[in-house]
Amino acid sequence: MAETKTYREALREAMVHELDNDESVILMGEDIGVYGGTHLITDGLYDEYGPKRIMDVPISENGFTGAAIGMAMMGMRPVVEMMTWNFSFLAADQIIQNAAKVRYFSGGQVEVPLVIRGPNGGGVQLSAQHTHSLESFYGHFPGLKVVAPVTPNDVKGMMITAIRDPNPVIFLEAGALYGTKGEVEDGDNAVPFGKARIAREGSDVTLIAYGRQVNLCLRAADTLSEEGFEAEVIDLRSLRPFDEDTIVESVEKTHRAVAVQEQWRWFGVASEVAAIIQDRAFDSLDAPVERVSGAEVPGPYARNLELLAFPSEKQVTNAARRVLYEEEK
Amino acid sequence: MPEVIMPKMGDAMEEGTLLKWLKSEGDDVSEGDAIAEIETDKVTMELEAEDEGTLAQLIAGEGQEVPVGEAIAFIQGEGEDVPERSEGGGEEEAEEGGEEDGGGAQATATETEAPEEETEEADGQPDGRADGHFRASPIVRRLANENDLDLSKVDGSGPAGRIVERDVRAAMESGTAQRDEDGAQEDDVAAPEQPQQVQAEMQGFQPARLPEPTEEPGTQLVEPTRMMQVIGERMTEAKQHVPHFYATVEVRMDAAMALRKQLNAQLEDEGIKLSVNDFVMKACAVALRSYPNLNALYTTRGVELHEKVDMAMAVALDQGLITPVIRDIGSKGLAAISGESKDLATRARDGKLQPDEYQGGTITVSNMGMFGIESFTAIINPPQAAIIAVSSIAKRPDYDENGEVVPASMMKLTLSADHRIANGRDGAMYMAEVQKTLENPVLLMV
Repeated sequence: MAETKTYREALREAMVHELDNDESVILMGEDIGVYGGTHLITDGLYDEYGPKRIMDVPISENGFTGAAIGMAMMGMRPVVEMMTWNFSFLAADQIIQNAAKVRYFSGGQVEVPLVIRGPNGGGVQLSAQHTHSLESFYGHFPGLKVVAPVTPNDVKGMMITAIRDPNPVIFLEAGALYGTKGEVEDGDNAVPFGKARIAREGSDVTLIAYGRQVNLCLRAADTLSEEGFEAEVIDLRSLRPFDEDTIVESVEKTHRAVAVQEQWRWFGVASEVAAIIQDRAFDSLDAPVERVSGAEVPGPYARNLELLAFPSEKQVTNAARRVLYEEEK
Repeated sequence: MPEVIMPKMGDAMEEGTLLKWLKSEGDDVSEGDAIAEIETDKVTMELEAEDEGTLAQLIAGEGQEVPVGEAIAFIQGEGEDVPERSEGGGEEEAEEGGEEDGGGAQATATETEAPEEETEEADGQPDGRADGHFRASPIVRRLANENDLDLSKVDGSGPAGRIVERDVRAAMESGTAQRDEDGAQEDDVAAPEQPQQVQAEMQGFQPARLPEPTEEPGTQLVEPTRMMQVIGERMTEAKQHVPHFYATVEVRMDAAMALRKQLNAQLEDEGIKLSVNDFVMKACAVALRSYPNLNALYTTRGVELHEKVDMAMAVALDQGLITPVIRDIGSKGLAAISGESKDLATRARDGKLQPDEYQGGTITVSNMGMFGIESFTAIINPPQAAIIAVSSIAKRPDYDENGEVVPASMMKLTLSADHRIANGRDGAMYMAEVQKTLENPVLLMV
């Protein structure tokens, strides 16, 4: 059975599923209880599960993240909300120095089954300090798992997997897409980490993205289809662990690839994708791998500038045309 | 354990030939002992040990070319082990050396395998190298290999003529890119290489234009020495890329010869004997004061004018030629020039020059006067701007200032100059200045 739900509802459903399933699961975050959450992700849960399982915390990211790590080390399964991922810089010391390393330091004796979740990326006019895509930041550190689902079904299935995972998971939500709708499977639809999703099949060029850029690629694929080229769109969705095989198999079929990311170009996921392709699919390539990235500026506030600062459908289709050796438009 | 490496004897040196071992494996050597004779593109010299110990391993064989910096031997000090070597290439291996850890056996095994692999590569299918001269995407190269296509027959539609997949697909459909079985040799740049072709490629010729040796009776095939190869390369390069122009003057040498006779008589007790060439070189240097653009180097960032004249002099050798340099010749007197040029020439013939003695000249003088040559032109020695060809002095009738016919000793000098650096007028005026200096040799003293 599947029902159409919003991204927000699907996410809430996953957490409810695990709250019911496992009493060691608790939710923590600023204003997630009485107020229902700034983005209404946890709306109504306080009334149902009470203050012990749905915990409001003070404005102290490093403090409550550290507390959550301690709880996880003692066997709880906390799910911590960052009101936005931009605030996680304050908690970066706890996340990187403790959450990512305790299992390693203890020789595997102590696990940290912690989920930190919240909206990632820009696109909703929150200006430079509130416009970051932090996947390559957190994806850089061994010891953290990093996922970025874009469909309502995946956000539910991957949250269920994240809560059950014995390791700290950085759960990057497509903040601009909380209201988007999609089919969501009922019940336990756990989606495994480390497995990319083929969002659209094609034979001429592979577009590789994650998060809300996947939707951009799907629109670009429609445009390319009108021009006679069928693009395959791959939604990476899990960045650590990473599914190299799906990319390589696709490029072996299409011989051309474009990697798209919202974040800045330098040291980004798209660069990693390009490196993997040249490493494992070199003899299949017909053109250098193209990268489409955000502009190298702090996120602008003005709507027109913000639109220019993020990858556009036109940029993606033109990158695809370049690897196809077709005229840009 | 100290390695003995192929030394770098000059900026351009990439490898040297180990001509001969002067010591055997197991010999004790001290610092300074000559252990091998090596040949570079310029000199043959003895390689001295820099450490004391037992010559434990001779890695390079006689006649082998060794890249600069690679070990050719090991000197084993007291209590040291012979190291394992993972790469092949040597001719001898100390099999007893590594018994403790089995390293000897391991090294030997690697070595017997390595040459076979190389042969296989050389004789095998023409691989990626066959189309190495075309821009083509990786998938195109793979398709060409799998379908036995000749990429030289495919036009590239990608950037800078890159052959891309659609080009090769179209060619496969039309069947225009099939490798031509008979004519494969013609198009295939990577055809099995022969020594002559390698040689020719080094000299920048089109390999296809070289004929096969006839091998008829009465012919003999000689492989050029390393020095001749380098000379060939450099002179080809110079003739092809440096626009030469020439200017010849005839110099009346009577005054210079009289002065030479007088000076030599006076200097006899000191054992000094000035040659005509000493006068010529000095005159060429003195005249350069007014024409600095002929004492120049053509560099990546423009023409570098030199104040000091470092004069290279061509010295013929049995196996080629070399150009040792007299530094700052302009500031030296005739006696000093004479002594230095004799010393350099002698040591050049004995192959005893150090690299810094034959590198870095700013102009060259080539003298063939001793062979009865009336005149000749020389090829510029890049990156220098000019070279002066000195011919023989010949007696012939000339007119004096009264119009009377008198005997005169005449000598021709021919300048070859780089037209990128100097123009004909500079060359002509410079040669006139050399002529004037030699005909009034007291000018050599100022």
